[in-house]
Amino acid sequence: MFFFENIRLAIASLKSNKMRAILTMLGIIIGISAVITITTLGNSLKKTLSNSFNKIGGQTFDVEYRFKYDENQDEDGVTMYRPMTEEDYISDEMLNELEALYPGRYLVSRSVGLGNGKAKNKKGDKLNVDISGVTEGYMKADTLSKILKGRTINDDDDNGKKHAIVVSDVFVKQYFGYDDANAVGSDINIDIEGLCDSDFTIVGVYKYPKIYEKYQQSTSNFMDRDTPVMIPYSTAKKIAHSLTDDGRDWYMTFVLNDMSVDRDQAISDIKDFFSEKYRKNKYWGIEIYDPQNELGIVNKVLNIVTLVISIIAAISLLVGGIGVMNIMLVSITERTREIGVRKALGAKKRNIKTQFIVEAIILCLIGGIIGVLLGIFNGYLIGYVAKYALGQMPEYQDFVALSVQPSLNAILLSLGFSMLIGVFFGSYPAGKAAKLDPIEALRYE
Amino acid sequence: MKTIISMHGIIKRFYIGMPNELEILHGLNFKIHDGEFASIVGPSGSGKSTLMNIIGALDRPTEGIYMLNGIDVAQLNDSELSAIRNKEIGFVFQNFNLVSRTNAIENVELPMLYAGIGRRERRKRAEKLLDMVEMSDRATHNPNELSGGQKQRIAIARALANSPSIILADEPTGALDSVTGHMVMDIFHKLHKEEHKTIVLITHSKELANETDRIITLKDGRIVSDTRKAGGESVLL
Repeated sequence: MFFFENIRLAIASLKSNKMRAILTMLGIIIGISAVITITTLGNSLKKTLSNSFNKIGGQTFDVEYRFKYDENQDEDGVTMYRPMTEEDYISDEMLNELEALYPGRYLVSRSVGLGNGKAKNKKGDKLNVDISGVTEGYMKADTLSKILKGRTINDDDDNGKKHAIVVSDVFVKQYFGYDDANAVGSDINIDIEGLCDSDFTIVGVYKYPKIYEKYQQSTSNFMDRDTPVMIPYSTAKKIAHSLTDDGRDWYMTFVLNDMSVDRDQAISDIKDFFSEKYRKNKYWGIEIYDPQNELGIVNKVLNIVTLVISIIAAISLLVGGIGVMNIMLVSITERTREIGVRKALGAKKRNIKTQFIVEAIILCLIGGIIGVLLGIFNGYLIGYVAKYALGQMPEYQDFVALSVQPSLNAILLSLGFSMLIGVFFGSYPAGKAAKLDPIEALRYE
Repeated sequence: MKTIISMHGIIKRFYIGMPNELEILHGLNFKIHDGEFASIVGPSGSGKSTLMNIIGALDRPTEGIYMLNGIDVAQLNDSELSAIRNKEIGFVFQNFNLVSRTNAIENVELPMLYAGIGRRERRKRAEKLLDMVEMSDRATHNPNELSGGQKQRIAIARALANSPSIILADEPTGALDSVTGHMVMDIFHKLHKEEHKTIVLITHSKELANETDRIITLKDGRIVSDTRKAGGESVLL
């Protein structure tokens, strides 16, 4: 019952001394706004990095070969190194086995380059294209190239060795002369010197990333630009059967296709699979490299920065709290007579105590709220500046997913903490007020 | 007739056990009945204020028995004293003692707030009381916007809030000019005659005391005379 009455009283009392209240709150405002600013920045940076990472790398893991040094040392500790041979590489059979073991869960990114070819259109233009045979995994891993229309190359195309092709939006403009909405479904003729000369059906059009354009625009005119086109991996293999060396990669990239699977689970699945396969290999094994591990270091640094700022903020809050206590003591001295009157009218000790603690809490809470708003404002201001800076570099816009996100936990914690300061630093003055002798308080001038 | 205040052998000492121990009241005996309008007079230093604090349950006597409306006040703890002040006593002070930054009607509501009366009922009763002291049109004014006489009328309304057993008025006209002082006294007379309120007026002014039915005169901590006007009975001690 006294609750709202006390809040109303507290606000009325603070209002009558606005300047004093604001000055008292300043320590708390500075402390809380510092915490909120830094946590908003930290949170936003983490979010931006992780979003950007997903944009570039997707949910991928790289598997790389590692020489087993420990098992290849002689008595003198000299390593007996042996370069990789054909049987040390991950074979197509292993990859097929892995995909079959976890159907639909993990995809292997595989590609084979067929080099340059020509695409001939109705006007007789011969357009340069850079042809690769790719798997569904490869296309999923390449998150930079967004599909605008149609779809990616998929397992069906691959298994059926179909003549499907995914081309860039740049290619569509070059080939059809305009941005043809009906490009998907059209057949185009691809001629690769000595290997093939046949029709492919466009199944998808992807957006050619701006970052690639940056390196091409200056070197060639529009019609001369060649953009990558993708056909199914198996189709390319069939075309390229005469090529002896299809190039071995040091890395093999795996894509997490089923997003419901935990990332750590995926890493351990793939690690276990290859550990088993390479158990008998004396010289070489495999290692999984998770690109998101890099984020761990950034997070660690951010956590340290947050901690340091928090300590500074804590000192500011302590000073602010002492200020609150001081001003409450002053306020109680000023209102001694009022306290006497209230007691004469029947206020009990706890009524008086509650009244002044609530006043201290309200004082701190208002300071906390202003601090939180200021902190969020700072966060968005910095985000706005960053967005402007990014706007000056359009080619990076494909990579960086800027996101300003105040940390809700930090906000709630800050508000809770500022109320706690009110309780802590308001208790002593409130207790003092409650203990006043009504006769002396009434006589106080 | 029902006894509201019964004082028996009331002694009040200060600085007990110290070299400067001081006895202010030396064993007072008197009773005040329901519906009486009594005044306690005496020069400064006579113990008026100390007696008023005891009557008002702001302080406990060192010795003696003080029964207020049947309750032994000396035996009560701090919180119970607060409750007694809240329900049994209506204070009217010389300097009004309205709570600042709190408007007239909220001041009148204060004792009811501490009595735990609900918001709507508080407001209703406060409006009625303000109407009685003819201050309804100033209900939302803050004390600093009111004249002395207006403030005192608000204070009287506040004193009546919880329908106390007695109204304890300490020099209620002391800070007012004679015209407004008379207006305030008229309210007390009205309360006494029409509402049959028990009123104890503490004053050093003989003139003011003569308006009341009974005059208890204090001197050096003792009652030197207790005169009743109505019955023409005069008891000299």
